[in-house]
Amino acid sequence: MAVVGIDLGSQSTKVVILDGDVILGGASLQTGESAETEARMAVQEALRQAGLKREDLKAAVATGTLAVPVTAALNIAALKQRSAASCIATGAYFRFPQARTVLYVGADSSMAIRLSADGQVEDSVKNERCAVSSGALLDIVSRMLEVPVEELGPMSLQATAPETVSSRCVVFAEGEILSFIHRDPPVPVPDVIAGVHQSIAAGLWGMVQKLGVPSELLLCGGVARNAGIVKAIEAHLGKALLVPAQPQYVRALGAAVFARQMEREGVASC
Amino acid sequence: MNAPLQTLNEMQRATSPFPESVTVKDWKATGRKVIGWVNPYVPEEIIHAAGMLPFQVAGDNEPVQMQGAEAYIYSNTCSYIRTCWQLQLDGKYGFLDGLVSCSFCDQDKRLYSVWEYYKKLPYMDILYAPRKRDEEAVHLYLGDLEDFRDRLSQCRLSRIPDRDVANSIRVYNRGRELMHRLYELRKRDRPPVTGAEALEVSKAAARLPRERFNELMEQLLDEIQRTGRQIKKARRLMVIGSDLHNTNQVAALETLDAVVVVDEMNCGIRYAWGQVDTQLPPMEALARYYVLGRPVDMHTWNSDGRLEFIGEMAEQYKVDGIISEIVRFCTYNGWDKFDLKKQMAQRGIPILELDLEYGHPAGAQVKIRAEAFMEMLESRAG
Amino acid sequence: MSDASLITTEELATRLKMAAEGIKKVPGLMKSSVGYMELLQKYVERIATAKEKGKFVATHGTQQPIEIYEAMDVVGVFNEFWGVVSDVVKLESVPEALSISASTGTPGEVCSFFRNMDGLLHVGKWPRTDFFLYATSSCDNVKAFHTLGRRYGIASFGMERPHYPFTSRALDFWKNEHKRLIAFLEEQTGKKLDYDRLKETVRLSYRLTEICLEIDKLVAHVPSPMSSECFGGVLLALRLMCGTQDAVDFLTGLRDELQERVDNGIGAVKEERFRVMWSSFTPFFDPKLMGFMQQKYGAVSVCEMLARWRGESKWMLDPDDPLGNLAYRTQLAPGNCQYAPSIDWAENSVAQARIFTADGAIFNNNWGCKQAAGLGPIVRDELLRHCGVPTLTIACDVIDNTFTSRADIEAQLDGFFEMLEGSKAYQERRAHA
Repeated sequence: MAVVGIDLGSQSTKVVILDGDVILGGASLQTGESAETEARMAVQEALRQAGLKREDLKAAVATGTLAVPVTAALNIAALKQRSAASCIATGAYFRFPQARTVLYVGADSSMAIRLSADGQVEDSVKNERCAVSSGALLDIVSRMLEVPVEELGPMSLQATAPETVSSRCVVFAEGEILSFIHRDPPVPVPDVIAGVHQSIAAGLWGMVQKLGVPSELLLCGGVARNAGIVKAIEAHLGKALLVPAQPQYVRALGAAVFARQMEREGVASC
Repeated sequence: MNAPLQTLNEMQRATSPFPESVTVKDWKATGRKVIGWVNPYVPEEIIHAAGMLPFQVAGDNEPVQMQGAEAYIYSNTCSYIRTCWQLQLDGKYGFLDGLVSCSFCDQDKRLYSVWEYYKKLPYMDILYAPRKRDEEAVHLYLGDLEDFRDRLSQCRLSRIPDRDVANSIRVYNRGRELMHRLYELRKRDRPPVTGAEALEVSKAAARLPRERFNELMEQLLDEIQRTGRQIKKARRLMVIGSDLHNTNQVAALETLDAVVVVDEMNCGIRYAWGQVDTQLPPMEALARYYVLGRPVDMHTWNSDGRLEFIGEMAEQYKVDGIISEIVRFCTYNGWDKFDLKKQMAQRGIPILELDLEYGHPAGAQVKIRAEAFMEMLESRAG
Repeated sequence: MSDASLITTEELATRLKMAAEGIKKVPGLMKSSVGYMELLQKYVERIATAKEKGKFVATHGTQQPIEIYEAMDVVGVFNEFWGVVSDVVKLESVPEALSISASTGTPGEVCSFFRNMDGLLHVGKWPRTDFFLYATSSCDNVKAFHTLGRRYGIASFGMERPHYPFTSRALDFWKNEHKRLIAFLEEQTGKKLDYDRLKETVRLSYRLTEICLEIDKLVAHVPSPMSSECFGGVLLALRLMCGTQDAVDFLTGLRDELQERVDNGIGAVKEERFRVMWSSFTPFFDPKLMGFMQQKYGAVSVCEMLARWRGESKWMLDPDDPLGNLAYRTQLAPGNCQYAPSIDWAENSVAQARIFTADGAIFNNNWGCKQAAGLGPIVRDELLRHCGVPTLTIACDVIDNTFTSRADIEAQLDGFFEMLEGSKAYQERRAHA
């Protein structure tokens, strides 16, 4: 019985179609002018990958910043909503049941969640006001250095002497990075990027600490694809992070798992 | 180019590594205790009289990254206390046997409570630094001091007697006198030390046994006289506002052809100010000195005196401009900004206002503004 | 945004009058919601008409002995609540005033209660004030009273007390500060304090405490009868109209209504799913939020730490020593003891969580309140450790509605209540209920 999880983020919509324990399809689309349109298109694309039609979906759960305004436009029967924290936790637990702390780093926000042994959210914190501990700073750095976002990670691994960014504020961090680029001689690009990664990782680590010392720490969200961030966080943790494949889909996956639960409990009725 | 001061090097060596220096290690090795304090309404004389080492809890020249401190103290707080707490979490203040708060400000109080709750030390105590400067306040504070003396006495075999307090007062007075001399020398057209060097001296005073500091201070003044040292810079600056312990922050200002000749910091000029009156009974003398004896500081509600003091010092030291550096979230400094600017404008002294994170190097924005300020001072002089 | 966004005393009085009328027409609310609005309106009306009635006006800080003002016929303007009350009827005023404050150079990281006052004073829209009165009993921001007093030529007097108020020396000193306050007021007003009148206002204030404790017992009931539209009434009576018959009448009416609801099994909502305690203040910045929480989650507010009393709080030690009673009261109102070691506040929070059988706590982390930001984690840890009550920390500004988006807060509330529902402690509590 196929179900769907829809993560309506501020920057992109991600969709996962699940049948039992098997992921049949997934899609991601940038959120544009009309979030509803992108959301519908993302669902269609995921259905196409899975070889299914809309009517084949037996239950649906939506989550994310835009869940409330957009779900009506999706025209999927029995669509329920769940909180972002629960979906992240559930998606992470589905991939790595040994995870006890989950760190989600998205485009403009981040969140840390402590899980019980059976995958329930015990506590969570989100990033404070400034977006310095999220993907936002990486977008800025990508623009400033003219390095595509997906290359930031590999390039940072070439650093020999990372240049520390001390600012806690995105605006001031931008200024600092500018001064590195215009220094004479300029700080090598890999060192700048590695310094930015370290700064982001330090902020994230501070946030994670609010939930206690993490044991099995899982990293997810789009920023988890960045190998440099992974390395910088592992430097604090002192061991390897759990990083699921396609970490940007974890929240949508969690939503799909909730949809599956609804379907099994018979609470999803068309 | 002036040669580095040998004695200052020795002061820095004796207070290194930060904070558990060789001096602290030697002290502890003899079985003696170290009691931490944050703001200067904790009378070090009483701790000294108890045979313990008073040690100011602060940061130093290395910026401290928040890595967990904000789980205990949310980030919308003063970075001074978060730095202190981060250092504690990193194990750097493990040598402290006690901590005394003087309730100087919201942050002082909360740092103390956080320490008490998450890392209770064998000796923990709270005094109250009065916000008003009058006889009632002296009386209240004296009561706190007596209780402090009694409680601290319980950490040793006998009650700390008045005569030991009197002796400690003399020792600390000597230190103040010597530090004051250095401040006086900085009034010269060509002061003998930079602001960064002077700050290192102030820091050493709060981290060394006072007798040792006094010895070194005598040597330092002697060395200054012998070498005839002079700092030749175009502009004279005054630094006011939050306590700074990262001398690089001051040194950065001084790279702009300027020398910081005076400050208004609690860890600077006030730490060196005046003398405890040795004609009075020692505990009363301490109470009077700490409540009334130093220039009005930022925590006093009536800031008239503080603004007056800043203006007077700026004129006495013939400063070209004032750098008002405020650590973000400092309420006391925040509320003085408006009138400070107005009053200094009336005196014809330009002010540059900077917001800083405690202990962190100035960012690009700050540098640009400082440079522009210096250019403006230059054109005024020219 | 312009000056027109800023609320004046007269406009506030008018709007509150309209709100009081308007609330009568809203179905389904508690009867006392009318009295609540009327009390607010009376408070502002007094301020608006004070000068024409020849009365002195004191803008004051928190935890003041308002009973003394009442006894001397001095009309109080509680600076913090000016922002709170203006949010009830004109949300756009506070952000505009804060913007004006920022333009004068006042940093954004100090308390916006004070920044609101700063901004309104700067453009002459603060209630006409004869003197500023304040005390250590809150935080460092009270320094602003002297500063602003100097700037605007307004006399001021501050009372101070030790950070640790639980010694007899501290209490004696604090009592003496009350005497100094009276001396100041006598000098300023040219009138002597009538001590019999003070005894009366103190008696009325003590009556308020007694009624508060009765209300607490009723609110602690499961399901709680207190609905969000009246929840702020207790703090209002305590902080704004303490020492007046009006406040006693209002709280008596509220208590009676709550009793009636308990007798008839009427809760704040049809299905009470969650009981929420507010670790510091309630969401002043969003007056509709508590109502929203009731409606969407069945989350009923049962406790706010600012309005709490310690134990039986019998602070009326001697009816003939009003100042001694007022001084002693400070130790018994944990709201006052926010200016005291954190552990005491945290322990009180745990005690209250148990009394009110709270399921979760919400800590509104006011951006400009560093004293609470240094306290929040300890309270959070104590609540979780001792009674399994988790805390949601919301980054906000105490009165600036524009600081945090409602969508963001709702997302956090969604996650929090989902987490609570799934937690063992919650389920055990429900099983025992």
